[in-house]
Amino acid sequence: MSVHVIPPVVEVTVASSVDVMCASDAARRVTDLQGFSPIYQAMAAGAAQSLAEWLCRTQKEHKIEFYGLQSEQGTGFQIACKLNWVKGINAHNIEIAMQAKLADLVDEISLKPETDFILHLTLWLSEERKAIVRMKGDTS
Amino acid sequence: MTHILLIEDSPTQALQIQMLLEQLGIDVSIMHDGPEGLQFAVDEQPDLIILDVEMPSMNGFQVCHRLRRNPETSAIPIIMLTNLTHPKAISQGAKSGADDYIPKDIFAAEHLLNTMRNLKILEATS
Repeated sequence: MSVHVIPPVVEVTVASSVDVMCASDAARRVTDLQGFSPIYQAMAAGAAQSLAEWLCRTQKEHKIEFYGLQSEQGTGFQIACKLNWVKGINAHNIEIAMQAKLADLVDEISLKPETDFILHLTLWLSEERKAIVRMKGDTS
Repeated sequence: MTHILLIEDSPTQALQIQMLLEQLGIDVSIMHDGPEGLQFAVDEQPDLIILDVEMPSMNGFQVCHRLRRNPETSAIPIIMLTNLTHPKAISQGAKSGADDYIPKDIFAAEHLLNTMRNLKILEATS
């Protein structure tokens, strides 16, 4: 399946707890520009925040990328982060740990050793996830 | 005039949000717990409810769930504004029917106003 990165693209360096808020904010802004409804923006921001908090605990500097995604499956939002330091650890175990933590907030979580240990968190943009306008008297 | 119901048990945090919104010409009513807020929402039909999560007697998730289940309040947009930011709490906020879930951090005011624009509670130019 061919996957293309599409704008907006934002990169945040995470080295301290202040950067955690910036990562969360970046995820929110990118998903807003992509047209996700506010609650899905909140879920993307929550996933970014959790990842950034976890990265902070490693006491190593990381770069997290936030961008749009286009594939045959549709349009989406992806968070990517290179985790070179997990080379000595079973990548599958980290994937399982991330699933346990973030499965409620994103659709896909993958960490494949063959992709240079890049962790990908993906949230697909479907019609029901696009910005909604709720009007008074509308109970749909 | 746009009317917002703020359900927040902390008087200082309620005052901060009230001042922000009143600067934009929005009428804000404050209720300090869930049951009070639920009754007010039914009686007054505000344009938006801003809801804290950690409150005594009934938490924000329970209040949100009840607002959504009641046909008289089910269509009123709800924004949760909270200190609880772990993934399970965000997911619980989404499942309880909130339109947004905003952490009380340095970006909170900006995100709150942006969501209000998305929900057409505020004009895009505000």
